[in-house]
Amino acid sequence: MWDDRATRRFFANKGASVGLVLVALLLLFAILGPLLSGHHPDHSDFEQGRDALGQLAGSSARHWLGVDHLMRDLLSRLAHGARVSLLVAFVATTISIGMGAIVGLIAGYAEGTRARSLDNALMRLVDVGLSFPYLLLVMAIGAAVGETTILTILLVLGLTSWFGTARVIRSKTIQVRSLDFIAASRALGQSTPLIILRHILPNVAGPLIVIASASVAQMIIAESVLSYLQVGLPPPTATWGRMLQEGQRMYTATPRLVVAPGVLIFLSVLGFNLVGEGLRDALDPHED
Amino acid sequence: MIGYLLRRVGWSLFTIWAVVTLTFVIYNVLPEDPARVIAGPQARPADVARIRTQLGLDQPIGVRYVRYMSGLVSFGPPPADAKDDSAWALGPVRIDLGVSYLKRKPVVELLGRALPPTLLVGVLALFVQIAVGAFGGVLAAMRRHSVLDWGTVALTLVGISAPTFLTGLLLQHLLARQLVWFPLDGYGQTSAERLHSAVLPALTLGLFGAAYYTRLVRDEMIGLLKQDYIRTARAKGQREWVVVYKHALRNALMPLVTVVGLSMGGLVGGAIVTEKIFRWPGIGSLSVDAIVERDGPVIMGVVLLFSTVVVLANLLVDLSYAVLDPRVRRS
Amino acid sequence: MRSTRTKTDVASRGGQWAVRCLLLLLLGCEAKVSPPLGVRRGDATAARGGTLRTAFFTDVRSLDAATAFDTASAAIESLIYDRLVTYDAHGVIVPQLAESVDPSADGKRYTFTLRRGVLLHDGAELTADDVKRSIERSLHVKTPCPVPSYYERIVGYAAYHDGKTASLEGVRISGSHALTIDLTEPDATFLHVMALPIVAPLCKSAGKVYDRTFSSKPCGAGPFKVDRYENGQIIRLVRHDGYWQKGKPYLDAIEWSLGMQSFTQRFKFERGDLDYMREFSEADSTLFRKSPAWQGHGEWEPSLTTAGSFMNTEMPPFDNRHLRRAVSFAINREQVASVRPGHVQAQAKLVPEIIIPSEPGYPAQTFDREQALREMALAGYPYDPVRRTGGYPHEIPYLAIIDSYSGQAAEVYKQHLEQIGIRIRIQLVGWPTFLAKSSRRNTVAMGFSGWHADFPDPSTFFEPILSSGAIQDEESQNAAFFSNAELDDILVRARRSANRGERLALYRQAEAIVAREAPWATVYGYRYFELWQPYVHGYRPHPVLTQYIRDAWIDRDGRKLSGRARGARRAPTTTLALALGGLR
Repeated sequence: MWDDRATRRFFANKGASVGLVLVALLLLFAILGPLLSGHHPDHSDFEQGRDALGQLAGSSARHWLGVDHLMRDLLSRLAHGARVSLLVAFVATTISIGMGAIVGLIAGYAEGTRARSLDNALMRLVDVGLSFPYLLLVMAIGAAVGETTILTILLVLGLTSWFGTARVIRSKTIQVRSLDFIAASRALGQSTPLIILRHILPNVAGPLIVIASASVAQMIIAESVLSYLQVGLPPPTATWGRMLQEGQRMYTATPRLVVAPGVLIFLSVLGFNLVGEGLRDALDPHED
Repeated sequence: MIGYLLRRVGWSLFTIWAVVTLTFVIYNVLPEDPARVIAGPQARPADVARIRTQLGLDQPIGVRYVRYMSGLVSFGPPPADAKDDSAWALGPVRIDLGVSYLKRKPVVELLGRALPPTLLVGVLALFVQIAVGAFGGVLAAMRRHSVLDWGTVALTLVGISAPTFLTGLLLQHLLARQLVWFPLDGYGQTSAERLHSAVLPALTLGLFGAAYYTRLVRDEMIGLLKQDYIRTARAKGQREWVVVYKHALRNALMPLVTVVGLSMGGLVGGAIVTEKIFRWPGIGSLSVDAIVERDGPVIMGVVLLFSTVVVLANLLVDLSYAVLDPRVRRS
Repeated sequence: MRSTRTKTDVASRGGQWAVRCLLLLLLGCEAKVSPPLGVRRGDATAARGGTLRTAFFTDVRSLDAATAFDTASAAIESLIYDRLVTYDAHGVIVPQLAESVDPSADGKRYTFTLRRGVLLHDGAELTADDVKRSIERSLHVKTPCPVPSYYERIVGYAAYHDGKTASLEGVRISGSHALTIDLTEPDATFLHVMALPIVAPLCKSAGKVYDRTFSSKPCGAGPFKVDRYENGQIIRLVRHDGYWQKGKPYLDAIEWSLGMQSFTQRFKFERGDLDYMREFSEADSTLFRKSPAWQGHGEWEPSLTTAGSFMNTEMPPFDNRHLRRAVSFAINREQVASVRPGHVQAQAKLVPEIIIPSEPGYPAQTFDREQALREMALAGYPYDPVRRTGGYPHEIPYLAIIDSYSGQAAEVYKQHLEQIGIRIRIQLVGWPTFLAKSSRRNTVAMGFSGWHADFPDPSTFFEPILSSGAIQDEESQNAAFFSNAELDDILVRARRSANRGERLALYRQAEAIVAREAPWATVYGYRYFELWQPYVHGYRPHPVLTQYIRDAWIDRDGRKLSGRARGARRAPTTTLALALGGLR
């Protein structure tokens, strides 16, 4: 588990440091960005003229990165997009990891015991879950309900992504359960929930942390895909995926509307992936 | 072994049934109106009602469910009115997924036409992934801590972090628009054209997998190269590449095969975003159109195909484990 | 050619590209379009031959005349199926397959005399029998025709469409090339609906009843016949050599690539892979319109649409007339239009310019924020714009459609309405949901409303969408659930009148009611810019029929004579310049 050596290994890893810096910058941008630009992200600046070729004005003292197709400040919208992305990614990951851990621990602990039918049922559920084409489902529901709120997005992402985690945690739990000290505590008459919480959970926490950091990166992508397919948060809320989708029609004339959110998505996903890699190496070192 | 096999197949069928039923229920309780879409926004009320009756959409959901499921798989010769037959016959087995509301063609025919393009890109992408993954991973592992290794790790991280809609647009812009090496989009008429057009979508789809597999193989190899039997082989004076390929790689490929098996569903299910960018007439495009237009029978057909492939791939992976590792059978 | 390019060349280009990418992110950038390939030769004469290549953003679902009614299908059907009557270049109804059309004095009987020697695609000669059979096929109870009720005034329609009679009584054959159609009452729009592809004469292979396989091998009397039709991929039409109009059409073939994104279309057009293009983004069309090299090769297509926002007059809060009027005064139509300059035009009246041109004093809604605030006060929700207090207390859901301009327009309305104390929450839903929800009674208070003329007559903008006859609990075409006895009366009188002057005066009154009562806030019209390569001759946007490229011809020598070298991109230095240019 986590100790001083792990911390040292983490910070010795150049990639992880770069990742941390990226994540920190992203957080900073999300917090300070909207204040920095001084424009409301949803308000059009119709005074803003067009250039000689009839295109949207580029960067200026008033709008540092120019304006989008509805004459709104691009920088301000990017910063608000960062807030949405981070919020969604963190909360959805928490839900997903929580569900995965609970189901995985219970199933793993029940496996091979008298309660193995519980394990069976849970694993069938996971099978069905993994065989379901979620993107189709989410698109259909999103297009039909139209009233997507941040809560809906969180539930959709959180509740459809825990199946893989549950499988991993289950097999890890089975490994840990067979260790001597668990048998000992069982012999001492400790209750099952207590054993799971006190002894098994700490031993599967390593993989959980690694899965979580990779999951934050995946959630950023997932949120942007939903927005890109126009079933994410409704307009005028600024999200990176929506900005990319809206900018795509004007891509030949005003590429910055696509490039800017695209680069931000990429850098933040990269940042969290690097941190995840670093955590994995720190927790589970390939000794040299 | 036979008992285990039967149990696994049974559960697989159950999974497919559960997925299909769930989808049917969800689509049918949404507040939508396929009849209006078919009639068009300008249609008058009486005309819409007529279309609803023609499609049987005025029936209760239970009746429609029974009708759909009972038509799904049947045996025996086609009905007398062969012109209206929308089933796909395999010997005496007939699979009938109904008729598309909007395209007015049997769903089996639409799926049959969308499958080859999807498979073409899927197989190419798989090839890219495995080739790049195996070679890149081994190379990086052999030159641990070199510039090459460092570069590979960096590149794989970039590959894993770039969403498909970014890599797709970037590849399209760079290789089709600026360098004009590949067609921008579309499927092409001749086989050569199709192969040529398939390169960019396959690269887009394969990039993530290639990066992921490279990492997988590299990490696996690094662990394996430290094992005792490898040291023994080295000590016996065998050449490094023999050691690597004969002893280590074979073992390193096992997890790769598992992951590839599990990713089959995604490849056959079509990549919605990639197919959209490259105007590729595969399963992904078919399903997006179906969702946009609320074409129920097509949506159901795609879901059925997707879940069947995923479940089959899972089954095969599990069975291959069972064959290799007798312990699995008992559990 | 390609082998001459060296590795360093490619590498340096990649490097340049990366640098430009960064620059693009940091700076704004301007874009340019390349000049056309090929030239327009003034002395070129119309000659047969050549394939015209174009594209559609959407798929074409069906080419069966009886079932396909969307813009893309209709455009292609205009080239496959000639009808009894059609529209000339000024939008006036003229005979096409009919030689003459004679309405009776009471307006209840139309006599059609067919041209002799018209050959269908299968080589058979067109007779009155084909016309009757095709009409009956489309209106048959088993045919999934979207709009059979357009023909409900034909005598015997109800009995036939309900399956009670085997034949449509009102359509009578009176000779091998003559037939009459009887109506239950005079109808000024009857010839318009006879110009729709739904009643176009089809070959005998279409059968008496609809059959889904006909769509893959359509057969009619139009200038082109279908050679290939693959859903989502391509449609290729080839010339019908037996076409009744001698010497026409000129083109050997027309090819549509289906489902092509607009920026891909633009790029292919620029590269010379498409000869004609219509579905520009506003950014791209502006570039072409501002480019001196492209002057004279493009034109705006007239708008046949009206869009804005409906307000449900039966539901709170818009059962309050003053609140509706407040919305209609609050929207700054010029700002909405400025988002897509040229393509979206401010339009404060219901009937588009091309159908009834505005003249001074023509009734329309206006943008007047002061007046809007006064209406808010009259409605009982006074709003203080300085202190931002008061206004309507609840958020109003606004229904708009995914992947359409309706959502962006709503984002602008939202800002305008905030300034008079009305807050809306945009709900983006798919087309199917939109249709289902907006047509259900007491369901949606406010949302996108848009209407495309079924035919170029003002009646199409009132009767189907704002008359009380269009109200139903479900499937209501009248999304505003607007019921106004005065309006209903005017509309019936206008439909029955055969006098154009009288009809126009009546529709002017109808327009005044809509402007005053505001069941809709009428905001904009949408139009397309069409552009063709200089060597494409004989084409201009048609006032009614979309993409009617029947008489176009290609000057093949002009296509070869290049304004710029087609292979220019291959030469290293030029390639580099162009690569940069393309990004700029």
